[in-house]
Amino acid sequence: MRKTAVVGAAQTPFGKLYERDTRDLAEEAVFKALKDAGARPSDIQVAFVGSGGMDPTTPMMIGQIALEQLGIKGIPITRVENACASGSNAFHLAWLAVQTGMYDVALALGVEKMSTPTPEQARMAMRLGGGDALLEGSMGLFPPGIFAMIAQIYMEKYDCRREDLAMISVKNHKHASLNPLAQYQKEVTLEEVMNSRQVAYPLGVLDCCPISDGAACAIIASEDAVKRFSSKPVWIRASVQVSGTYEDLDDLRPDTTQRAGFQAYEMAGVGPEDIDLAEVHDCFTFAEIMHYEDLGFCNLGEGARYIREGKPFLGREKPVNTSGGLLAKGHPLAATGIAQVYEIVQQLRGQAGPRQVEGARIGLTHNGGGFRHGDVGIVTVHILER
Amino acid sequence: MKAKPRGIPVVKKFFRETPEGIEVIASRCSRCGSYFFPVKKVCPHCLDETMEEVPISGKGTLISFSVSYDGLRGIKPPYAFGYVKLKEGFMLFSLLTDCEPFEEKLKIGMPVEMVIEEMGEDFYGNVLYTYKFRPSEDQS
Ligand SMILES: [Zn+2]
Repeated sequence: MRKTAVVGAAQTPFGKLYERDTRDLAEEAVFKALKDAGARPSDIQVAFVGSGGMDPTTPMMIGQIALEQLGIKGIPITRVENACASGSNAFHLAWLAVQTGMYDVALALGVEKMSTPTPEQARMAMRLGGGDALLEGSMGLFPPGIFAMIAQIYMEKYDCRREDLAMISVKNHKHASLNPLAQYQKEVTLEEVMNSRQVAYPLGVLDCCPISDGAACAIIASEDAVKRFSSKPVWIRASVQVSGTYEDLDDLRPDTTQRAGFQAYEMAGVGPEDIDLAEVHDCFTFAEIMHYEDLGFCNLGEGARYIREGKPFLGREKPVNTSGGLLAKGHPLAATGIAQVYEIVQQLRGQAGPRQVEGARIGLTHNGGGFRHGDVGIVTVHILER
Repeated sequence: MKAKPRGIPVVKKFFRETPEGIEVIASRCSRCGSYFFPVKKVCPHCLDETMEEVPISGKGTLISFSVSYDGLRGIKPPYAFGYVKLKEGFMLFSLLTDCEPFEEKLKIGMPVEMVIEEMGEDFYGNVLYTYKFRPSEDQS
């Protein structure tokens, strides 16, 4: 395998940014990533642009339009749509493009505008389009619903209580209070989460990620090309994408994250015990508990105890979602996967300020997308090392 | 199970009209016996056009469920939904009906049966019908 590194990464503020559109969000993220790398637009040889297209005015060839603003043109540019994993999938393809030896420098951008025309319309679009619309979306299933059903079985089978779910939201809001780019920078209490308006039993609104706008960008270079840039490289040790298998599951326990995690650990030649911090796909509080187990941070059935013992809090054994995660940093669909990479890059460079994980050497990102037949549609896992 | 609902189907290919009424249909591979919903032409295991259309038994068990407190066009909140494992052996997502109060009536693993019921209206004001499942006495 060719050695590749992230040489530039950037993220816009996340939130309901009513005054901003897809173009200027993309412009800011790409501009900052180029600056971060010390790169010129002409350094970029190929680009992949994640876009879930949640904003009905998002044009076709959004990638071309977004990147032309910074003078990135003439090269192959391709839009990537893979639901909430669109951004990490664009990053994976940029990595793959460099891996093949065809290119030395690739750019991945993820941009999403969800608050227009109204956040309510985005919520409805997600209800119908977040998964298999014909079979499930139009029949009443929506993203919180699928994780609520998985949680119900899990909570009957294992030691996991309502307050364990709520603690995930408390942790991620606490982390987000230290992140100036997060959508919600205010801490919440256990009681506030447990008493928040019901969305899909047992999940309340503070167990769910919000509707968000934002963009994130990363620039990847081969080992030979790294020296063209002024930044300190963060090496990509593993980049994996898998899809769901959509089997009939009596226990409704998708194995997509487990499979992606296992492949990533094998590719990187590391194990869960080597991971210093992780950004995982906490679209709903329960999902994060499940992912502790799927990624091998603890054993099956011990996810709730893992958060109860405080292990994934900042300053403890293995901080998870130091950025605030999807729950509190926000979740502009296609920006999320690359924003996760941005957070890990900041941490591994020692630039994360008040939320810095001391001595962090290896970080992991985990991004999921879509649902169908009790399974997750897409999962990507990346392992980065300084 | 056959019914004579008012209106038009929420998704046409889920249903079949017979002289006795509407029924919900799946595809079964005549070679390997695998079931598929909704109906399709080619069995991915046998890689051949071996499908036959069969009515769904409508009997199964509730794998898991939840209750939505947000509405969807045509579905008023709160409403219950779940995954059902049918007697035929395959899994299906469905709205749940006749199950209030939810916390008393719904249990993971309980027997359920299929009914055809109205589900709001489409953009043009047509009354829609769909399949749903409800708690069943039948333990078989
Ligand atoms: Zn077959």
